[in-house]
Amino acid sequence: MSAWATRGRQPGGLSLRLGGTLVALLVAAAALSLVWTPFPVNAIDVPHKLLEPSLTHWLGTDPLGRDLASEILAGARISILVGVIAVGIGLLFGVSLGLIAAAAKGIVEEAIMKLCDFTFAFPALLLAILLTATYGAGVVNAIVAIGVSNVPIFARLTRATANGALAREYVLAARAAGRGPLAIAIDHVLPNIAPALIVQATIQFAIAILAEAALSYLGLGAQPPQMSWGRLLADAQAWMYVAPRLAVYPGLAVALSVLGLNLLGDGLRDALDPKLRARS
Amino acid sequence: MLLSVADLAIDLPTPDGPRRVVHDVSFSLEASDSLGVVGESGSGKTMTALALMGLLPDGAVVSGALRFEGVDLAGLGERALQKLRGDRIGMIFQEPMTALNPLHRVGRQVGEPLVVHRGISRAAAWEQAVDLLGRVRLRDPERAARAYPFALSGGERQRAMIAMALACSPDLLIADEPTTALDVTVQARILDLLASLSAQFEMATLLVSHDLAVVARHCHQVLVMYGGTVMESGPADAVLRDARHPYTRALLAARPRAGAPRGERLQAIAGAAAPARAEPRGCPFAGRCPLTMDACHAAPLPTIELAGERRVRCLRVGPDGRLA
Amino acid sequence: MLGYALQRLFVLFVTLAVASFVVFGVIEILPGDAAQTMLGASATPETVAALAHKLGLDQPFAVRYWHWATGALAGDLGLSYAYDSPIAPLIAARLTVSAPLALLAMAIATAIALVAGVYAADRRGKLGDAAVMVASQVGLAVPNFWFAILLVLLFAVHWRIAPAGGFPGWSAGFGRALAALILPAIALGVVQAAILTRVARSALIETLNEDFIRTARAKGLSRRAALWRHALPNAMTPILTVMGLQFANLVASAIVVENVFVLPGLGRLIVQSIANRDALVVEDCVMMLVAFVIALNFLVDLACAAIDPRLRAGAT
Repeated sequence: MSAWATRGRQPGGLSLRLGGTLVALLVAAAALSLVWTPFPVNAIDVPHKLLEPSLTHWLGTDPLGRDLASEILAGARISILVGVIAVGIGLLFGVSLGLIAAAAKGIVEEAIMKLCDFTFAFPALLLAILLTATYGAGVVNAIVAIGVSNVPIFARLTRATANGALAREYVLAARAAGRGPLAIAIDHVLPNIAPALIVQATIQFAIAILAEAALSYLGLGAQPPQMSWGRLLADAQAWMYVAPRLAVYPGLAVALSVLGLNLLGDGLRDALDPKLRARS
Repeated sequence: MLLSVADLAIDLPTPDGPRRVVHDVSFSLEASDSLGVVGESGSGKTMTALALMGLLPDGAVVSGALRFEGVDLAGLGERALQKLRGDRIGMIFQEPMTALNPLHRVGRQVGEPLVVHRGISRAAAWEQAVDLLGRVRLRDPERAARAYPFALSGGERQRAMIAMALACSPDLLIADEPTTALDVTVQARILDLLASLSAQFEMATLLVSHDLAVVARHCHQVLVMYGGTVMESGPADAVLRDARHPYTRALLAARPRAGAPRGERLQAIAGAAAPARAEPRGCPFAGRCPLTMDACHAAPLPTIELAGERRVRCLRVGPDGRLA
Repeated sequence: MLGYALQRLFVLFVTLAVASFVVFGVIEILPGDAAQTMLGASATPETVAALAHKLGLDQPFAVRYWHWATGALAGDLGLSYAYDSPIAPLIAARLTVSAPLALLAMAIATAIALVAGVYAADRRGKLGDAAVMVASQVGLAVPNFWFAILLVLLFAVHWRIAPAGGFPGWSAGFGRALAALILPAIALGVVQAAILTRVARSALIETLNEDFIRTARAKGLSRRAALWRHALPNAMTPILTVMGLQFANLVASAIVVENVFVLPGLGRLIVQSIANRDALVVEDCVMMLVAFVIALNFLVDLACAAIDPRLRAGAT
């Protein structure tokens, strides 16, 4: 819930518009970088190192003469990749587990939910660190870890919403017509919980971007030559006294992306389901 | 005169602009006297009570005069109102289950008005709280004082609420549906307790209720409200014996049979309870009333003064005071 | 209260046991050869086997887990392959940095969240509330470690009033050591405060709508007194609970922030050990952090029970 949304009552309030714009910019940057960047990504050009921002080099160049704007554009790709796959993993397994729990009841439900409660001690970052200790650093391990940490969040949300939906009349009618619990869950419950899932997916997307940036900063995520905002920040730290801007712009890119996704989530929450607003 | 209310109107803020929930409400109450305010939910009776406490929701606008011992409450600042609340005016609420702070012992909560208004120590307030809990006839007041609210029954909690309202011996006690949430057997005992305490403490009582029978039994005066305004008022026995307003008559006719479940009482009146309207025009009961004329929907409601301190607001009541 | 505490204590031990199984399992049971990882791809099968034997990796999983878990309980966390020394003293030394940092950050986050949350709830719907909500929205978006970098840029690079990092050690004097922890703690705490402020605000607003607040006002308490004396204690249970859950995030973020400030804490040890392919050290460190989080949540449960008599009585 945002202050904006409570003030302007119309759906599609400021949160939605601002968030939508920022997210659209993020996607556009990633898409653009696939076909065009001001300079080739990773193109070393030592004579033009550490240039201040100019019309040629919008955000200046790094100690090896690489164009920062191009690198940031390309960095959007990994953020989106990690977000999409990690949230996808969370949705796929989390919703399945949640539906199974809600449909099965009894000991199965209890066991699944206890397991989900327990995972509070393992945030994405810690899980990723644990995985990279075994398999070595890399973006795949980061995605898997972040995705796994999303599973209990979606499972809990799905079960809570599904339990409400399962109690409704049309579900009872479907049950009377002899449909199995899982078929009912997929036909009748999924459409009901979609709004809540979409909102949560947006927020988990933001968290995934934050986690990827942190992992890559530590050198445990994206590896060279893969471009990542976290890696840019790690590289920039050695040059803070010379070119502080190198440590500012990549972080700004992360912050604006996360802000956009969070605002979009808030805006969607208000637009999709006014009842959800009370819960946040 | 302890309390006099003249032309009270209350506007509550809503997303679609202010909504008038109470209008044209006037009444007065002598010291040690008792007034019952009767009406269905949405009739504005609770808002009227909250206006007296200055505890209306944020953004509510009050107009008219609310005089307590001659001082206009509407003109008082928040600090002055705080001095009156809990000291000169006590209030008890409908839901004893949620009206007590779950984290504090009952004794501390009952004694809190004394700490606030008399500036005595917590320990001294606790002693008095135990005494008060005894006066509301709670068995083992020491134990009740030490208990947390969740350990008490609904009736016990409401007694604790009464003890809290009485802590500073107020001149006026406002009881907003004090027994609605309680079992039928407990209701009567709580109301009897309230009546005897009012006499003991020499305080005036304003009893808000949806139950005309309850009000008639416990109050000298009665004020029948509907749709945010007053329909009829006067001495309780006279109004009950010889109601003049069609709405009051409908209320009396709809009185519950013994053992009827709560909430069914007013169903005998045809139609749905009127919501308070943005711009009150005509009689709010028009349409639901069996005697409705065309004029009822539009004409301003007259106030007809009858003999014996009675008032009725109905176009169908003639100059002789009879329903025509 | 004792019954409740014993029940929570039981949950604490079960959670710790499951957590230890997960930590151990992720590293040891999943496909992948720890010894091979440690030595790198170029190692001969003989050296890998020798190392596996030295580390006990050739024994069955259950035996190794039992060995590790009982050892840990006795204070023996095994041997570090890279440092060639017992891990327990290594971790103990790092904890003297990481533990004060986490607690300091938590204190900062709590202080900000309570003040801002109470302020916003008191002015809900007004300009001050909106300002707090906008600030917290920004706080939610800023990565911890980037905020840390910005603090270094500002305080160390631009104003030159704080060190850019490093830790002089507690032997250098309490004041100097604490000074080195302040910027990292702010970086962690301020960002953490963003989410806690929102929780505090919404918990308070919910409580302010309760009937007993109206009762308190009817007694003659001012709006503010009702808020502090009646609303805040009732809002504390949800606030503390979220605080406990968020502590896991804070601990994870501390790993990154320690690296920004080059603090010799657990976080740096973890990252160095990953670089050294020293899996057992990572395992022990992560277990340490997880145990820290679980223990704090146990304390949160006790604190909630101390506040709420219904929890102590087992009522709802």
